[in-house]
Amino acid sequence: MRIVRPLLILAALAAMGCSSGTINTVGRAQSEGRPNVVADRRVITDPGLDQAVQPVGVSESIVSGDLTKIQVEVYNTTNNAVKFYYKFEWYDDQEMVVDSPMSIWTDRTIQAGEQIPLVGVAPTPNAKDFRLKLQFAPN
Amino acid sequence: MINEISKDRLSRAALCVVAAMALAAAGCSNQPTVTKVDVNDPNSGALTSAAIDPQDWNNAGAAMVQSLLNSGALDNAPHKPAILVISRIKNETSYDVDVDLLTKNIRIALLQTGKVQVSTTAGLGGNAEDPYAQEEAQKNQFLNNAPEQEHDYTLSGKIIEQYTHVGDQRQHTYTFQLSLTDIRTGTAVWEDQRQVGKVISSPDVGF
Repeated sequence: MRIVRPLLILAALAAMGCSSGTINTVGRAQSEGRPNVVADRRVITDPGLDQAVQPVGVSESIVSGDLTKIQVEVYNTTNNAVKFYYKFEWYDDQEMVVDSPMSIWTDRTIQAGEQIPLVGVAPTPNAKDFRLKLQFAPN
Repeated sequence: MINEISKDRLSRAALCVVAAMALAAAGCSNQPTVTKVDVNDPNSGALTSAAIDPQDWNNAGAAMVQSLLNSGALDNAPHKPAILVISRIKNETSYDVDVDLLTKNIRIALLQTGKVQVSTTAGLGGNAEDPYAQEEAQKNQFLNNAPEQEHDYTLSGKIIEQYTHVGDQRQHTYTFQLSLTDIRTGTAVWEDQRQVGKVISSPDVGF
Protein backbone atom coordinates (compact mmCIF):
# COMPACT_ATOMS: atom_id res chain seq x y z
CA MET A 1 0.00 0.00 0.00
CA ARG A 2 2.92 2.34 0.78
CA ILE A 3 4.22 1.97 -2.74
CA VAL A 4 0.82 2.21 -4.46
CA ARG A 5 0.31 5.95 -3.91
CA PRO A 6 3.73 6.99 -5.28
CA LEU A 7 3.18 4.67 -8.23
CA LEU A 8 -0.21 6.24 -8.92
CA ILE A 9 1.31 9.72 -8.78
CA LEU A 10 4.09 8.66 -11.15
CA ALA A 11 1.55 7.13 -13.53
CA ALA A 12 -0.53 10.34 -13.53
CA LEU A 13 2.55 12.46 -14.21
CA ALA A 14 3.57 10.16 -17.05
CA ALA A 15 0.09 10.34 -18.56
CA MET A 16 0.19 14.17 -18.46
CA GLY A 17 3.51 14.17 -20.27
CA CYS A 18 2.37 11.72 -22.95
CA SER A 19 -1.15 13.02 -23.75
CA SER A 20 -1.81 15.18 -26.81
CA GLY A 21 -3.13 18.63 -25.82
CA THR A 22 -6.82 19.16 -26.53
CA ILE A 23 -8.70 22.40 -27.01
CA ASN A 24 -11.17 23.83 -24.54
CA THR A 25 -13.47 26.54 -25.84
CA VAL A 26 -15.68 29.25 -24.32
CA GLY A 27 -18.37 31.20 -26.13
CA ARG A 28 -21.81 32.74 -25.70
CA ALA A 29 -24.39 30.42 -24.19
CA GLN A 30 -26.88 31.65 -26.79
CA SER A 31 -25.27 32.61 -30.06
CA GLU A 32 -26.40 35.95 -31.42
CA GLY A 33 -25.30 35.11 -34.95
CA ARG A 34 -27.87 33.92 -37.48
CA PRO A 35 -25.95 31.82 -39.99
CA ASN A 36 -27.41 31.09 -43.38
CA VAL A 37 -27.11 27.30 -43.20
CA VAL A 38 -26.51 25.32 -46.38
CA ALA A 39 -27.67 21.72 -46.80
CA ASP A 40 -24.68 19.69 -47.94
CA ARG A 41 -23.97 16.44 -49.74
CA ARG A 42 -20.97 14.35 -48.64
CA VAL A 43 -18.89 11.64 -50.23
CA ILE A 44 -16.79 9.84 -47.60
CA THR A 45 -14.05 7.58 -48.94
CA ASP A 46 -11.78 7.80 -45.90
CA PRO A 47 -13.63 7.17 -42.60
CA GLY A 48 -10.50 7.96 -40.60
CA LEU A 49 -10.22 11.38 -42.22
CA ASP A 50 -13.92 11.96 -41.56
CA GLN A 51 -13.30 11.42 -37.83
CA ALA A 52 -10.28 13.69 -37.76
CA VAL A 53 -11.74 16.48 -39.89
CA GLN A 54 -15.47 16.05 -39.56
CA PRO A 55 -17.71 18.65 -41.23
CA VAL A 56 -20.29 19.76 -38.68
CA GLY A 57 -21.92 22.66 -40.49
CA VAL A 58 -21.91 24.69 -43.69
CA SER A 59 -23.02 28.31 -43.91
CA GLU A 60 -23.08 30.90 -46.66
CA SER A 61 -22.87 34.63 -47.01
CA ILE A 62 -22.17 37.24 -49.70
CA VAL A 63 -19.03 39.39 -49.74
CA SER A 64 -17.89 42.26 -51.95
CA GLY A 65 -21.46 42.72 -53.10
CA ASP A 66 -21.93 39.54 -55.12
CA LEU A 67 -19.36 36.87 -54.29
CA THR A 68 -20.49 33.74 -52.47
CA LYS A 69 -18.55 32.93 -49.33
CA ILE A 70 -18.77 29.48 -47.81
CA GLN A 71 -17.69 28.54 -44.31
CA VAL A 72 -17.43 24.87 -43.37
CA GLU A 73 -16.93 24.11 -39.68
CA VAL A 74 -14.86 20.97 -39.11
CA TYR A 75 -14.27 19.14 -35.85
CA ASN A 76 -11.52 16.75 -34.78
CA THR A 77 -13.18 13.91 -32.86
CA THR A 78 -9.90 12.05 -32.31
CA ASN A 79 -7.39 12.40 -29.47
CA ASN A 80 -4.56 13.56 -31.69
CA ALA A 81 -3.64 16.68 -33.60
CA VAL A 82 -4.05 16.13 -37.32
CA LYS A 83 -2.43 17.87 -40.26
CA PHE A 84 -4.55 17.94 -43.38
CA TYR A 85 -5.04 19.76 -46.68
CA TYR A 86 -8.21 21.35 -48.02
CA LYS A 87 -9.25 22.93 -51.29
CA PHE A 88 -12.39 24.72 -52.46
CA GLU A 89 -13.43 24.14 -56.06
CA TRP A 90 -16.11 26.32 -57.60
CA TYR A 91 -18.72 25.70 -60.31
CA ASP A 92 -20.75 28.17 -62.33
CA ASP A 93 -24.47 28.10 -63.10
CA GLN A 94 -23.85 25.48 -65.78
CA GLU A 95 -21.90 23.29 -63.37
CA MET A 96 -18.65 24.05 -65.20
CA VAL A 97 -15.58 24.34 -63.00
CA VAL A 98 -14.21 27.87 -62.57
CA ASP A 99 -10.44 27.66 -62.45
CA SER A 100 -8.86 30.13 -60.05
CA PRO A 101 -5.53 30.84 -58.30
CA MET A 102 -7.56 30.64 -55.08
CA SER A 103 -8.46 26.97 -55.72
CA ILE A 104 -5.30 25.42 -54.32
CA TRP A 105 -4.53 22.91 -51.61
CA THR A 106 -3.96 24.66 -48.28
CA ASP A 107 -2.50 22.97 -45.21
CA ARG A 108 -3.95 23.27 -41.72
CA THR A 109 -3.50 21.57 -38.39
CA ILE A 110 -6.48 20.80 -36.18
CA GLN A 111 -5.92 19.91 -32.53
CA ALA A 112 -7.74 17.12 -30.73
CA GLY A 113 -11.22 18.25 -29.82
CA GLU A 114 -10.89 21.46 -31.82
CA GLN A 115 -13.44 22.96 -34.20
CA ILE A 116 -12.14 25.31 -36.89
CA PRO A 117 -13.70 27.09 -39.87
CA LEU A 118 -12.55 26.49 -43.43
CA VAL A 119 -13.48 29.45 -45.60
CA GLY A 120 -13.71 29.81 -49.36
CA VAL A 121 -14.71 32.80 -51.47
CA ALA A 122 -16.05 32.30 -54.98
CA PRO A 123 -13.76 33.53 -57.77
CA THR A 124 -16.60 35.00 -59.85
CA PRO A 125 -20.14 36.25 -59.12
CA ASN A 126 -21.73 33.38 -61.06
CA ALA A 127 -19.80 30.68 -59.17
CA LYS A 128 -22.41 29.51 -56.68
CA ASP A 129 -21.74 25.81 -56.22
CA PHE A 130 -18.68 24.53 -54.49
CA ARG A 131 -16.89 21.34 -53.59
CA LEU A 132 -14.65 21.18 -50.52
CA LYS A 133 -11.97 18.51 -50.83
CA LEU A 134 -10.09 17.18 -47.81
CA GLN A 135 -7.11 14.87 -47.47
CA PHE A 136 -4.57 13.89 -44.85
CA ALA A 137 -1.18 15.54 -45.20
CA PRO A 138 1.31 13.09 -46.73
CA ASN A 139 3.94 11.77 -44.28
CA MET B 1 45.00 -22.95 -87.47
CA ILE B 2 42.55 -20.60 -89.19
CA ASN B 3 39.79 -21.74 -86.81
CA GLU B 4 41.95 -21.00 -83.77
CA ILE B 5 42.78 -17.46 -85.05
CA SER B 6 39.06 -16.79 -85.70
CA LYS B 7 38.07 -17.97 -82.22
CA ASP B 8 40.71 -15.71 -80.67
CA ARG B 9 39.41 -12.67 -82.62
CA LEU B 10 35.82 -13.48 -81.70
CA SER B 11 36.57 -13.73 -78.00
CA ARG B 12 38.51 -10.41 -78.08
CA ALA B 13 35.67 -8.75 -79.96
CA ALA B 14 33.15 -10.08 -77.46
CA LEU B 15 35.27 -8.80 -74.62
CA CYS B 16 35.37 -5.33 -76.20
CA VAL B 17 31.59 -5.33 -76.62
CA VAL B 18 31.02 -6.35 -73.00
CA ALA B 19 33.47 -3.71 -71.77
CA ALA B 20 31.77 -1.03 -73.87
CA MET B 21 28.34 -2.00 -72.51
CA ALA B 22 29.64 -1.90 -68.93
CA LEU B 23 31.04 1.60 -69.46
CA ALA B 24 27.78 2.77 -71.03
CA ALA B 25 25.77 1.37 -68.10
CA ALA B 26 28.05 3.12 -65.62
CA GLY B 27 27.66 6.38 -67.50
CA CYS B 28 23.83 6.04 -67.64
CA SER B 29 23.53 5.34 -63.91
CA ASN B 30 25.14 8.74 -63.16
CA GLN B 31 22.46 10.58 -65.11
CA PRO B 32 20.12 12.62 -62.90
CA THR B 33 16.48 11.57 -62.83
CA VAL B 34 13.86 14.20 -63.44
CA THR B 35 10.31 13.92 -62.16
CA LYS B 36 7.57 16.34 -63.09
CA VAL B 37 5.62 17.60 -60.08
CA ASP B 38 2.54 19.71 -59.55
CA VAL B 39 3.63 22.30 -56.97
CA ASN B 40 -0.01 22.74 -55.92
CA ASP B 41 -0.56 19.04 -55.25
CA PRO B 42 0.75 17.95 -51.81
CA ASN B 43 1.02 14.35 -53.04
CA SER B 44 3.11 15.11 -56.10
CA GLY B 45 6.45 15.08 -54.28
CA ALA B 46 7.15 18.78 -54.66
CA LEU B 47 10.08 19.78 -52.46
CA THR B 48 9.99 21.95 -49.38
CA SER B 49 13.07 24.07 -48.80
CA ALA B 50 14.23 26.69 -46.33
CA ALA B 51 13.41 29.37 -48.88
CA ILE B 52 10.03 30.56 -50.12
CA ASP B 53 8.71 27.71 -52.25
CA PRO B 54 6.15 28.01 -55.06
CA GLN B 55 3.53 26.53 -52.73
CA ASP B 56 4.22 29.33 -50.23
CA TRP B 57 3.83 32.08 -52.82
CA ASN B 58 0.60 30.53 -54.10
CA ASN B 59 -0.88 30.03 -50.63
CA ALA B 60 0.00 33.52 -49.45
CA GLY B 61 -1.44 35.09 -52.59
CA ALA B 62 -4.67 33.08 -52.38
CA ALA B 63 -5.15 33.89 -48.71
CA MET B 64 -4.59 37.60 -49.26
CA VAL B 65 -7.01 37.81 -52.17
CA GLN B 66 -9.63 36.10 -50.05
CA SER B 67 -8.95 38.56 -47.26
CA LEU B 68 -9.34 41.52 -49.63
CA LEU B 69 -12.60 40.23 -51.07
CA ASN B 70 -13.90 39.45 -47.56
CA SER B 71 -13.17 42.99 -46.41
CA GLY B 72 -15.49 44.70 -48.89
CA ALA B 73 -12.81 47.36 -49.45
CA LEU B 74 -13.57 47.39 -53.18
CA ASP B 75 -17.28 48.04 -52.67
CA ASN B 76 -16.82 51.83 -52.67
CA ALA B 77 -14.48 52.05 -55.67
CA PRO B 78 -15.07 55.20 -57.77
CA HIS B 79 -14.99 53.11 -60.95
CA LYS B 80 -16.40 49.67 -61.54
CA PRO B 81 -14.17 47.84 -62.17
CA ALA B 82 -11.64 49.67 -60.05
CA ILE B 83 -8.29 50.51 -61.62
CA LEU B 84 -5.34 49.23 -59.63
CA VAL B 85 -1.66 50.16 -60.02
CA ILE B 86 1.04 47.95 -58.59
CA SER B 87 3.35 50.10 -56.52
CA ARG B 88 6.49 49.19 -54.60
CA ILE B 89 6.67 45.72 -53.08
CA LYS B 90 9.98 45.44 -51.33
CA ASN B 91 11.90 42.23 -50.99
CA GLU B 92 13.65 42.22 -47.62
CA THR B 93 14.67 38.59 -47.65
CA SER B 94 18.12 37.16 -48.22
CA TYR B 95 16.97 35.68 -51.52
CA ASP B 96 16.83 37.36 -54.89
CA VAL B 97 13.12 36.81 -55.60
CA ASP B 98 10.74 38.26 -58.13
CA VAL B 99 7.77 39.69 -56.19
CA ASP B 100 5.56 38.99 -59.21
CA LEU B 101 5.45 35.47 -57.77
CA LEU B 102 3.15 36.97 -55.15
CA THR B 103 1.34 39.66 -57.09
CA LYS B 104 0.56 37.87 -60.33
CA ASN B 105 -1.80 35.33 -58.80
CA ILE B 106 -3.46 38.16 -56.87
CA ARG B 107 -3.95 40.11 -60.08
CA ILE B 108 -5.37 37.10 -61.92
CA ALA B 109 -7.83 36.36 -59.11
CA LEU B 110 -8.96 40.00 -58.79
CA LEU B 111 -9.43 40.32 -62.55
CA GLN B 112 -11.55 37.16 -62.52
CA THR B 113 -13.93 38.69 -60.00
CA GLY B 114 -14.66 41.51 -62.43
CA LYS B 115 -14.09 44.06 -59.66
CA VAL B 116 -10.53 45.12 -60.48
CA GLN B 117 -8.46 45.82 -63.56
CA VAL B 118 -4.71 46.29 -63.22
CA SER B 119 -3.03 49.06 -65.16
CA THR B 120 -0.13 47.81 -67.26
CA THR B 121 0.70 51.31 -68.50
CA ALA B 122 1.32 52.92 -65.14
CA GLY B 123 3.93 52.03 -62.59
CA LEU B 124 6.38 53.31 -60.02
CA GLY B 125 8.63 55.98 -61.50
CA GLY B 126 6.70 55.88 -64.75
CA ASN B 127 7.96 52.37 -65.46
CA ALA B 128 5.14 50.52 -67.16
CA GLU B 129 4.79 46.76 -67.24
CA ASP B 130 3.89 47.13 -70.94
CA PRO B 131 6.02 49.95 -72.42
CA TYR B 132 4.46 49.64 -75.88
CA ALA B 133 0.92 49.95 -74.50
CA GLN B 134 2.12 52.94 -72.47
CA GLU B 135 3.51 54.64 -75.59
CA GLU B 136 0.30 54.02 -77.51
CA ALA B 137 -1.81 55.33 -74.64
CA GLN B 138 0.33 58.49 -74.46
CA LYS B 139 0.09 58.93 -78.23
CA ASN B 140 -3.67 58.57 -78.06
CA GLN B 141 -3.86 61.18 -75.31
CA PHE B 142 -1.72 63.62 -77.29
CA LEU B 143 -3.24 63.14 -80.73
CA ASN B 144 -6.88 62.53 -79.83
CA ASN B 145 -7.06 64.43 -76.56
CA ALA B 146 -8.07 61.19 -74.88
CA PRO B 147 -8.46 61.45 -71.10
CA GLU B 148 -5.65 60.15 -68.95
CA GLN B 149 -6.44 56.88 -67.29
CA GLU B 150 -7.70 57.44 -63.74
CA HIS B 151 -6.36 55.16 -61.09
CA ASP B 152 -8.31 54.24 -57.98
CA TYR B 153 -6.01 52.11 -55.86
CA THR B 154 -2.38 51.11 -55.47
CA LEU B 155 -1.02 47.87 -54.08
CA SER B 156 2.19 48.06 -52.08
CA GLY B 157 3.94 45.88 -49.56
CA LYS B 158 6.93 44.07 -48.27
CA ILE B 159 8.30 40.56 -47.85
CA ILE B 160 10.38 40.15 -44.70
CA GLU B 161 12.59 37.32 -43.53
CA GLN B 162 13.33 36.57 -39.89
CA TYR B 163 15.85 34.03 -38.69
CA THR B 164 15.84 32.17 -35.36
CA HIS B 165 18.46 29.70 -34.18
CA VAL B 166 18.03 27.37 -31.17
CA GLY B 167 20.50 24.51 -30.67
CA ASP B 168 20.77 22.58 -33.88
CA GLN B 169 17.46 23.91 -35.22
CA ARG B 170 16.92 26.97 -37.40
CA GLN B 171 13.66 28.69 -38.20
CA HIS B 172 13.09 30.98 -41.17
CA THR B 173 9.89 33.02 -40.99
CA TYR B 174 8.71 34.84 -44.09
CA THR B 175 6.15 37.61 -43.63
CA PHE B 176 4.11 38.85 -46.58
CA GLN B 177 2.61 42.32 -46.06
CA LEU B 178 0.29 44.08 -48.50
CA SER B 179 -1.67 47.34 -48.38
CA LEU B 180 -4.38 48.66 -50.71
CA THR B 181 -4.30 52.46 -50.79
CA ASP B 182 -7.17 54.65 -51.97
CA ILE B 183 -5.42 57.23 -54.18
CA ARG B 184 -8.11 59.88 -53.50
CA THR B 185 -7.44 59.88 -49.78
CA GLY B 186 -3.92 58.47 -49.56
CA THR B 187 -5.04 56.02 -46.89
CA ALA B 188 -4.95 52.24 -46.74
CA VAL B 189 -8.43 50.71 -47.09
CA TRP B 190 -7.19 47.16 -46.73
CA GLU B 191 -4.12 45.58 -45.20
CA ASP B 192 -3.11 42.01 -44.57
CA GLN B 193 -0.14 40.01 -43.35
CA ARG B 194 0.60 36.30 -43.75
CA GLN B 195 3.48 34.28 -42.36
CA VAL B 196 5.20 31.08 -43.41
CA GLY B 197 7.61 29.40 -41.01
CA LYS B 198 10.22 26.78 -41.90
CA VAL B 199 12.11 24.80 -39.28
CA ILE B 200 15.34 23.16 -40.38
CA SER B 201 16.95 20.50 -38.20
CA SER B 202 19.91 19.83 -40.44
CA PRO B 203 21.78 21.80 -43.08
CA ASP B 204 19.50 22.50 -46.00
CA VAL B 205 19.99 23.89 -49.42
CA GLY B 206 17.72 26.85 -50.23
CA PHE B 207 17.51 27.64 -53.95
